[in-house]
This record gives sequence, structure tokens and C-alpha cells, in this order.
Amino acid sequence: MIFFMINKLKALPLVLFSVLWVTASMGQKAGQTVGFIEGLPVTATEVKREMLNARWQQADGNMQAVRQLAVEALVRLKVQEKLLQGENLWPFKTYAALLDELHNTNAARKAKGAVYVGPQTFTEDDFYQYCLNNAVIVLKDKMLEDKRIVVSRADLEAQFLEMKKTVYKAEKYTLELYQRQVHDACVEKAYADIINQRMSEAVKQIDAAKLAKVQL
Amino acid sequence: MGQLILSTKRLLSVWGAMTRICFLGGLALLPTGQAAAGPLPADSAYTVQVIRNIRYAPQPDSMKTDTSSDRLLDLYLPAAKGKLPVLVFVHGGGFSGGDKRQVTALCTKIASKGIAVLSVNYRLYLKHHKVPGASASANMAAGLPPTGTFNPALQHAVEVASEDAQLVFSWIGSHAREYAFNKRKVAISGGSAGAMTSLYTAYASRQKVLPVGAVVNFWGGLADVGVIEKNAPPLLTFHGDKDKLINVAYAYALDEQMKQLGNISELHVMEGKGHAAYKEIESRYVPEVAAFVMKHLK
Repeated sequence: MIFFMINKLKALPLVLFSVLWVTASMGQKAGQTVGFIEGLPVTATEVKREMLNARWQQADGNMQAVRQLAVEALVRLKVQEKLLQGENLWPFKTYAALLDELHNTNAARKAKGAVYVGPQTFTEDDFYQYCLNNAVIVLKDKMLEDKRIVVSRADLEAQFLEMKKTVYKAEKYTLELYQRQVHDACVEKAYADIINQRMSEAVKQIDAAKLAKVQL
Repeated sequence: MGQLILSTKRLLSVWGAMTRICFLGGLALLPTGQAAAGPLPADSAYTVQVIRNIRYAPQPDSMKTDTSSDRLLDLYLPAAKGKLPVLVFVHGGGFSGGDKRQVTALCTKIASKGIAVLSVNYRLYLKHHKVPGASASANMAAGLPPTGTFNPALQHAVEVASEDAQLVFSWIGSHAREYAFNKRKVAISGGSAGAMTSLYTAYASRQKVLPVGAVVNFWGGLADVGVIEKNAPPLLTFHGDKDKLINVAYAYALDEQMKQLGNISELHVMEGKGHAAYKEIESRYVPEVAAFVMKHLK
């Protein structure tokens, strides 16, 4: 019996090692959830992605401040993901799914063997932004179509006055000739207002202990 | 019992070893990336604020609603005191693609050395005008053009992009006080099509908006290096010798012409590297690029 137990105990590290390895692999692949924004999971991988952008603003070594900047950035992004999901414009049910797509895209680009005019592979941040921005372009068009964004003549005139203070100062820039540009600027502004409003109302449930464990 | 104690000791030893392997294995699973010494990388002198999508000129009418052809820039602003040297960075993409955001890592690292970097979008002529034989690869893969000219559509794409680069210069001039830019001289750089734009703007366009004090050329080229004049701005070139899109002959031709005229030119031919070796630049050459820009903008 003792001999049997000893044999079992000998095998224990291997079993535990295997379990930990698999767990670690899965955790890394899927990303551990550190909380939720607007009901959408926020993974450690996403926090780290935004920390890599935010780190450049923090010279004093305060990692907690970098984490907070990352969470602030994620609120803006998650609010948009939520909107996109509601319109069936965001195909990624989880962040792991987006990372899988990134992996497949990069592998396909490499396998193709083509000469690319830019970087051969997307970085995680590049790919996320690429997907999000393309989806947001479609979203804005939909919002215009179904009148969630409406641009009135008064909006155009007010926006044009603002634009005249910037690179549209010259006399040749009139509202009549540059109405499309002014209209686009109005849409951008309206979209930004919608996002800002949603951000101010966003429900954030971030586990401080889990967040504190995310390292660069 | 003795056997059990011995076995337990062995077990603990094995367990300890396994734990270490496990721990190391766990670490190995973490994505490789920047050093984990603290938020700001160790070799960075300054924090960098990134201000995205600043409009430097009116939205072009010709490109409809294509945002990647819009005249917007991302400003990488270091928290350095005094007047900031300025580098305009023009992204690549064969005048038919690419975006100012794709060079975030490179621009941030250069900015962290104390240089204001402006990564710009510009009109992508070949994206909106599909012309057979106009691509950079069709014109530049085999070597220098025997006639000293590119396909007219490619040449036009370079000129259109350069017009927008000059509008960026105008914006720098009018916002110098706001951002503490040193506008006495600016540097211009880019990769591939962006480098072609930079080289054309600095050496061929005869623009008078702002004086160019330095050019950093990442795997680009000029159709005819004969346009370069004596006392032209100093040039730093990086080019892979296995570049299948823009032949390394363009780098040698530029360097030779610059030196023949007594101009400053430094050339790095990167052995075994193909087109767009951004990672190589980011990991090895940022200090040199920054030092070159700083030196020649003084």
C-alpha cells in the first residue's frame, strides 16, 4: 500500500506539472479575465496591450498609474466593441478569437511569400486597431442611414465656423465647395459625442487585485 | 519508513525541480516584448505623449472618404525642455496602402530620444488610380531605371505625396510656438514609398516651405539621383541587400551621388534583410537615427 502511495506520489509532480502547463498555456492563449466593462470581459492580455501604449506617458516607474491609463483606454474601446457587437459588426466573441485571427492572418501572409510594402506581420495592437477602425467606419455609415446621427444645416454652419479657425482659413474654402468635408467632420463629432456619453455611463467592474498582477 | 523518508526527500527534490521547470515554462509562455524594468524602457530619455489625428491640411476632395488618404498626422511629443527638433515620418505602402499608425513603435522610440515626430497620412494616388506598370515593385525591383524615369503614374504619386509632405511643413511652421518646434530646419524620413516621398521632397521638389536639415531613408530611392545638388541635406540610408521590392542599387546610387558632390551620406546595407525591415531598425538603429537627426538639425 505504502509502495503504491509512493509510486503515486512520485507521479504527482508530473501530473501537477502537466496540469499547470496546460492551465498556463490556456490562460496565456485566452488571457485571464481581470474584469468587465459594459459586461464585456477584459483580459490581462488586453490590459497589457494598452499598457504598452500607456507606458510612454509614465517616467516615474509607477506601474499602477500605467495600469489605470490602460483601463481608461479600454473603456473607450470596449464601449465601441459593445456598440459594434449590437450591430453584428464585431465578429470576435472573445479576445482570444481576435488573437487567433491575427495568428492566422500573419501565418497566411508569411505562407503567401509575397513581398509586402509594409511590415510583413501585424502586431497585436496594429491588428486590433485595424479591425476596430474598419468596423467603426461601417458603424458610422449605419448610424447615418438609420438617423442615429443626423447632420442639419445648422450643424454644418456651426462646424464650418469652427473649421475656418483651422486649416480651412483661406477664402477659397467655402461651405458650399467643402460641404462634404464639413459633413464628415460633423459625423466625426457626433460619433465622438455618442462614445463620450456611453463612456460616462459605462459600468466598470475591474478586479483591482487581478489588475495589479498585470505586468509589462 | 526509511524508504518512505528517502523517497519523500527525492520526491521533494523532483518536485522542486519540476516547480522550477514549471515556473520557467510559465515565464517562457509569456509573450516576448519590451524589458520589464519599469514603465518607460531603460534606453528612453523622455516620456512621449501621442496626439492622434491632427488635421494638417484640408481633407482632400479627390480621395472621397478614404481616411487613409486623408491629411491627418499623429504627433509624438517628447517631454523634453526647450525647442524640439522635428522629424516628419512618411509611412510606406506603395502609394496604395499603409497608415501612419503602422509605425507607432518606431516613432515612439525616436521621440523618446527628444525629437518631435510627426507620422503623416497623405493622398495615396495609386490606391485611387489603378495604372498597370505603376507599382514601385514593377519599376524598382530589378534595379535603377535605364531611362532615369519611373512610370509617369508612379512619378505622379510621388509628387502628390510630396505636396502633402510640404503641407505638413506648413503646419509645422504655423504650430511651432504651440508645440515648441524648432522650425529653423526639419528632418524628413520614411519607409519605402514614404522614403521615396522624403527623398523627392528634400532633393528634387525645390520646395521652399521649410529648410530640410536631414533625411533618413529607409529602403527608398530616387528615379534619377542626378537631381541631387551640392550642399543638399545630409542623408542616412538603410537598405536590405535582399530587398525584392526596391533594389538595393537605389541605396548605392544615392550614396555615391551624395559623396561625389561632397555631401554628407551614411549608408547601412543590412545583410540578409529584405524590404521593410522595421524590426531591425527598431531594435538596433534608433539611437543612430536620433543622433543623426539631432546632429544635423542643430
